[in-house]
Amino acid sequence: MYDKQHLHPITILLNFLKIIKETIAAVAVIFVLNIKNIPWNPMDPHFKWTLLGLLIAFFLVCLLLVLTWVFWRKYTYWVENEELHVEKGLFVKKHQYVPFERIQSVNFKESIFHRPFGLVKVTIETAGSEDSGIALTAISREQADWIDAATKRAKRHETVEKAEQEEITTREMVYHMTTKNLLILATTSSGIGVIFSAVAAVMSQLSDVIPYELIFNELKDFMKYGILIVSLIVFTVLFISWLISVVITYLNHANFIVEREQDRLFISKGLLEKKRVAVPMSRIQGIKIVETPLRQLFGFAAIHLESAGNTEEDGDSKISLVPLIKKREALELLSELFPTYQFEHTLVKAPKRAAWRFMLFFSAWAVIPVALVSYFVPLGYGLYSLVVLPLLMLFGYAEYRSSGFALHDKQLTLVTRRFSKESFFVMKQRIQTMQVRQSVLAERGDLARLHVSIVAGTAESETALRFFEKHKLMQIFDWYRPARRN
Amino acid sequence: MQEPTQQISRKGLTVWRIHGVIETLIVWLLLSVIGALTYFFDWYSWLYIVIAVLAFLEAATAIFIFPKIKWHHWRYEVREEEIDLKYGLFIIKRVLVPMVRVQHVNTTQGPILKKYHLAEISISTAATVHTIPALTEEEADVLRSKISALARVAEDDV
Repeated sequence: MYDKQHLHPITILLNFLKIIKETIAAVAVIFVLNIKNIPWNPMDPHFKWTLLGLLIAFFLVCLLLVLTWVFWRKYTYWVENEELHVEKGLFVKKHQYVPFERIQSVNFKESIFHRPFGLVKVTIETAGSEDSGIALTAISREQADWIDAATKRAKRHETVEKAEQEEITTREMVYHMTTKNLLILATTSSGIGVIFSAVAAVMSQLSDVIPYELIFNELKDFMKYGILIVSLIVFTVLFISWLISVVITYLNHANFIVEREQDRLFISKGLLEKKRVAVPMSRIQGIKIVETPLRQLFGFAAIHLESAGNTEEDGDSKISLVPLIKKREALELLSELFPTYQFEHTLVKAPKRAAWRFMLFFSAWAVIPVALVSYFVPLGYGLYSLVVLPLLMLFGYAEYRSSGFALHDKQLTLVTRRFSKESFFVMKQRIQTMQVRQSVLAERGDLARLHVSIVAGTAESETALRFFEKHKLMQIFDWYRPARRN
Repeated sequence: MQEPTQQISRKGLTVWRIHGVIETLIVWLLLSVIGALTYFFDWYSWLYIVIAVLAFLEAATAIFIFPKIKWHHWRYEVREEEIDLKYGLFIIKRVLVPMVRVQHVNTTQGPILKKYHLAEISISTAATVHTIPALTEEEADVLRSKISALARVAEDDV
């Protein structure tokens, strides 16, 4: 670790695939749309253009391979003076170094490409807002553990006496997901919509291969009802996408385990691709219990943590502590993990007169689009879009029923709902700023909004509570106000 | 509960009006392009009336009405433990930034602000940035050093 090293060569492949993955969608769309116009027959006089296109594509792929190779060649890392150093860049050399004691957390990820070689992708989060984190795409398991251990040692260094006593650290499992819950999570995952459209797109493009028309005609003779065929197709597509979604969610969340070691939480998950995220408890800014309407119906919830820190990758500041759990158990687990927080409160609710505001606010945004659709879509079919309005009003009413807040000593609880019901728990010292907003047209003491900002990752995360009486929100404002020092 | 009381500089209103004039000129330019297109392509003639009304409304609001309202609404106060802001056009925002949360304070000055010897202060927390838009240069300097001094001594009460 003390001499300059390169990442494992698999990095070249991984980076190459990553870029391909990011661009493939756009390329595929262009390709599929034009597939009928591309002359594939070598006898075709325009075949030379096809050849040229393929040549350019081949050249670009080669160039990409060379570039990823250069990136790998120029990327070195080593340890020096209790700091992790990284040097990278071809023309502009970038030298990053992170002292071990400044490392917030060390996260591991093993994809199917890593596992045969015993490799790990290590993402290192730091506290500062200026320097970014470090991602080591592929290093050996031993080195990864070495970095993890070095970080721990450096942390202990600060409090030598204390560390002596707690030399033996044990990791206790605080939560593991049951197979039953995993299956429920998979079957109710919200990724269905995305996958549905993907499957629909693929199926529509497969019309050349699959003789849909033939099948239809036969079915038509059989049933004579077009509508039945359409619903059959929709059902099939839905079912396939649901199955895919179940499999993906299952693979991603299998073996979901949360462990605790002193003041850190370790969240591990994945069957083919394993991930391990470390969360220092001291960096947790807020806790959210999220209930989507469907899952709420069956008493299920998810727990998210908002954490401050710096990752080089996707800046995902929301950490899923528990993706699916009975709400009852969620509250028990949270009280055990975070004894300083209080998770059950009697909420102050929005006033009765605000109910209409919630309902109208939601639907007001849709009035113009609905009016346009109703007017322009021929034969009066557009009028069906009017259904959206009462539906949105229902959502507004649901928000009215859910909304509420509670103050408890140093803790603020906000319950809001846009689509999912979100209960947000935050300590006073984690709130960065607070805002109360009110329209100039509102009477004094009339309805207002509250915005609470906390740090999430390196950016801001805002939670808003709307249509509450101003004087009630001002209570929160006053509570937030720092105590006057005398 | 005490509301913030300090107002921003009167000259800030002038600066906003200048911004309004610049904005209006750009909008007028766009509108005249639409007008020209209407003329050359024989679009509906009532478009001229719409353009004229829009041009008038833009000038009236951006130069005269909105800056005035905004300036009237702006209040700030820097206390020992907190910064208290109140501003907005149609929606009045009341913002509280505790001193302990302040990470750094900057003053910035664009060419127009400089001409009027004004500066603006931006206060950054770990998550958000808040700006007090038009202060006289002296005020801005005093306030900046005051805030950074207070932010350094402020301690968490938890």
